[in-house]
Amino acid sequence: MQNKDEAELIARSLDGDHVAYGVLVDRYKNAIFYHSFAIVHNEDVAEDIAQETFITAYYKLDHYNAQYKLSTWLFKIATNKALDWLRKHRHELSVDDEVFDSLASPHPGPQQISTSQELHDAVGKLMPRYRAVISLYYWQGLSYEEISDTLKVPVGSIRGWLHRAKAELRKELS
Amino acid sequence: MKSDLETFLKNKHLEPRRKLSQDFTENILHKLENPPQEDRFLHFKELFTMNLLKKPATVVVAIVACMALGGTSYAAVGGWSGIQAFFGGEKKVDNARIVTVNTDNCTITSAFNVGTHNKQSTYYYRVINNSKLTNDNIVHIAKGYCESSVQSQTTFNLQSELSKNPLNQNTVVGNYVDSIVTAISGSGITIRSDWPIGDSIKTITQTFPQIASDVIVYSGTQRLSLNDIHVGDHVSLSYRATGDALTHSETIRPDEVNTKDQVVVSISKNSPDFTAAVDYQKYNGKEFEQVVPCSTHADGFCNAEQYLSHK
Repeated sequence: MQNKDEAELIARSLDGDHVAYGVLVDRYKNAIFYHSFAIVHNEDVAEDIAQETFITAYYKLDHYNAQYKLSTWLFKIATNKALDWLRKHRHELSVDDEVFDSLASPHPGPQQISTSQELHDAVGKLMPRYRAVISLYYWQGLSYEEISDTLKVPVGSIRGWLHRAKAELRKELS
Repeated sequence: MKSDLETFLKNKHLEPRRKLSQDFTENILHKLENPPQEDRFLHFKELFTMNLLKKPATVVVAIVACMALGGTSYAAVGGWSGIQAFFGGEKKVDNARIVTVNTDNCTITSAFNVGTHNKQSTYYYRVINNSKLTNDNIVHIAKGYCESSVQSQTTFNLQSELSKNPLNQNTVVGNYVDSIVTAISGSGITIRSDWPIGDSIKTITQTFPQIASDVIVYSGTQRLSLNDIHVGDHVSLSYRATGDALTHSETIRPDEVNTKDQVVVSISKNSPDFTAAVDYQKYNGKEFEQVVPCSTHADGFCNAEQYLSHK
């Protein structure tokens, strides 16, 4: 559920108050940027996706269901845009491009979890939907149920994806 | 390994190598304030339609600006009386059904025809399986939405006429879109309105003790007199306000308006089915959504987001 302050900001945004919407953007922009980056692994693309997410959300704000957290809804939009971007651009990426490679796992990887960079590289080699659930669960703090709402996938599938994502990470990092 | 992995995942965010651009938020707000020209037509129309249903106060100068952007499209306004909607069929798809609605004289500007001004005559709605909405409900709602679309165009014309009156300039003109007259005399009028506020519909009764001597009265494009308005009529109403309404124009709610300084300046008689437009606001995106046939979605129909992402 949204808090009163957020409900007021949303109501004002619906009335066309861009300043109020700017407050909401500032509140969630980094989380959406980080989450988009976790999926596409490119800062410029992630920033574009974050921007498109907030523009889409503005025009669809009257469809937002207030029984869910606003952040959950924003993550849903961003996730769909990021996965769409990967689908659309997979043929434009070079064969050795990290993102393209990551669409087909598994790959040989580093032998130890010695730095966070190695872990991040390993996450980047997961299938995009696995990256999305890893990001939402571990880094954005969403529950299984919230991820299920975000991705429109049953909770059981989310658990399965997370389990398989971690199994691939272990294999990658062992 | 398991605990190491869990610990790393929980404690180490996958961080981009740079921060967001400093002007990230400003760029978004700039794009919202300056949408591409083709989108602007839709945006203003949608915004205005939305405001008509949700917000009582709009400034005259903004309305004039909308007319300038809309151009002659809004000048050629038809009445709502010719609008018809018919059930055209039903198709079962996964977890929903697609309801086809055929219409006469209904033009809705939406994400599906932005910039093209297509005159669609057939509309499709995906209705979720556990919805209580019947096919007749969907047809009724679609017809009401068509009528609200025409009515919003009529309102542009009305507002243009209103803006020529020096008394209305530099003040606020508010609107009640679909209301029912519960009392009327030569000097005052009481209306009842259903307003979508958040996820619920709130019924508001409002009395306006003053009606301007030069009040403009319409039915569609036909000019009427105040004597033609009766108890039970469905009307849209505009009022001129001073004082508080000016300072709270963005957050004002119809039940929080001080009516003593308000003067009714126009009344437009509506179709009774127009009431269903409120249901459009209530159920759209929750129990049904407008779709179009497409090959990119599994059930053969795309909603606006899917349609635009594959365009």
